[in-house]
Amino acid sequence: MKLFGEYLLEKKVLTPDQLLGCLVAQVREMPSIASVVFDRKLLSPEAMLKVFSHQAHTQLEFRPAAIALGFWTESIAATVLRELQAARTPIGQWIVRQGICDFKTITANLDEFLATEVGEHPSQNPPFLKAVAPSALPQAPPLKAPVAVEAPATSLVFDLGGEQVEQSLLSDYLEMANDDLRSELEQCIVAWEIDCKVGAFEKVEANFRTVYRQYHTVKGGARFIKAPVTEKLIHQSEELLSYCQKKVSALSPDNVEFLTALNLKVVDLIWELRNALARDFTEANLWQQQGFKDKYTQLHTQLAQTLADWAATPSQPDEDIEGKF
Amino acid sequence: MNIIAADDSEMARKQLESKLTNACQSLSVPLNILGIVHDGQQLVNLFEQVRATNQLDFIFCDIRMPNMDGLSALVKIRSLDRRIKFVMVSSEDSEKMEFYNKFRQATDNAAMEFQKKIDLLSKISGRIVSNAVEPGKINSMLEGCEKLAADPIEVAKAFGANGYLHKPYDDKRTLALLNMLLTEPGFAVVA
Repeated sequence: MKLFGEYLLEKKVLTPDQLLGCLVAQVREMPSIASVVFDRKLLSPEAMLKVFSHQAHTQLEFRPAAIALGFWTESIAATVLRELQAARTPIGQWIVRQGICDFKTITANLDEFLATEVGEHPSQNPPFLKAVAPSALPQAPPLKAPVAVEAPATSLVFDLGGEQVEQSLLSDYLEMANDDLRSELEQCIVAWEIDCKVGAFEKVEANFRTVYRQYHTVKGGARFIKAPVTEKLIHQSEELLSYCQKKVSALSPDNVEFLTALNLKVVDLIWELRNALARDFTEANLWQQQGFKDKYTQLHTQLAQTLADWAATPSQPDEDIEGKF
Repeated sequence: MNIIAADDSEMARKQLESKLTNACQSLSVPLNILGIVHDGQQLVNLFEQVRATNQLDFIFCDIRMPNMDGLSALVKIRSLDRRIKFVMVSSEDSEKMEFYNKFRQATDNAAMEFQKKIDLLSKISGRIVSNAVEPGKINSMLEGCEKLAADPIEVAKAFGANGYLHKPYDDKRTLALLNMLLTEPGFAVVA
């Protein structure tokens, strides 16, 4: 299959030198697997040292070495690989960042590329779609004072009790919250933006439902294993989605873009918690890390605040609601 | 006691089976689970398949499932059998139920009278019973509830459900619900 860079070359949107410059910048900036593992504490320092030592003796790469030593399963290693790939800045962003094309031109080319070269529904190719997606969370539309809505929580406290979750239930949970489910969720979330852009609101609504249902299943599982940190984040995400399902046609493309970015962050955190459960059999250790706590609290507050603001914003009644029945 | 059930979560299916087994042991009632399926459509199919040869006593059905939601399955099964006890199950939070009231000022349809909502939902149930899917219309009871900001548990009650059990399942609450369903008339709620 043709790559996006090759397509842009053919269309003379950029020169070979420019493309090469972007690819080199992309590779240079990509973090090493060891730095991702270290930053995200996916292995203890002792385990990391053992992996490095094993690598030196066997010439294995980091992932196979961690698997060979029994620190990771294949599934965990695949998750780490995805983290690594997600940390890479997409080529489309490099092209814009280096001033070769503006955002609008690259987006138009990406749409054309997906339609003519990939020949599939765009949502099946989230890496391409993410090629120009902003990496940072965009700002929510201007906020209005909440009306009859409780103020969002600013500090969160969980009773994690220090006890580990029940092993048999945990393995069921880990099996359910697997990589395929994560991919499915991410594909649906990314599709919101594309479908909204082309005015396919029914598809946006259907995908809201799919994501809501998947969130709900994971939340049910989190409740079974008594993982309140996961449960609370999903609950807040459900609340916002529940509101949006009723107001799809009132959402602007900016709203949907914001919602997409927010929910991709939610999925990241759900799986970060999931991996912590696989490693520690409890959410407590991850929750004690200030960096994670800050990230989580910020996202939770943003979800609550967005719901409060959007719900407080006067909107037109749904058009012909009765006619839909 | 013959039971069939539907839930799209494997964890929930395992837990339901385990808790029902414990509850029936406590009640000294023999338990016969004839099938636990993954969605509402499979539940309707299973119901039609087993009812010819078995006297079914209870159906436990999750509300939010793919393909066919639990409320739509309730409507379809009630059109075939008025006697069987149908229990809705969900992990919707109590706050979620309050959600519909919480935003009533902003959610325009929340102000609509409950009976009016039921009348609109009856149009969907009519199509479900006659297996008619109308393009451009809402064809799912749960989706209809969401559009109208109607509490799905209240709607389940109005369309003939006998009880509601809040997940996650545990021995005490599952036993309490079975006791209520076996001994008391009316809609049993264990939340």
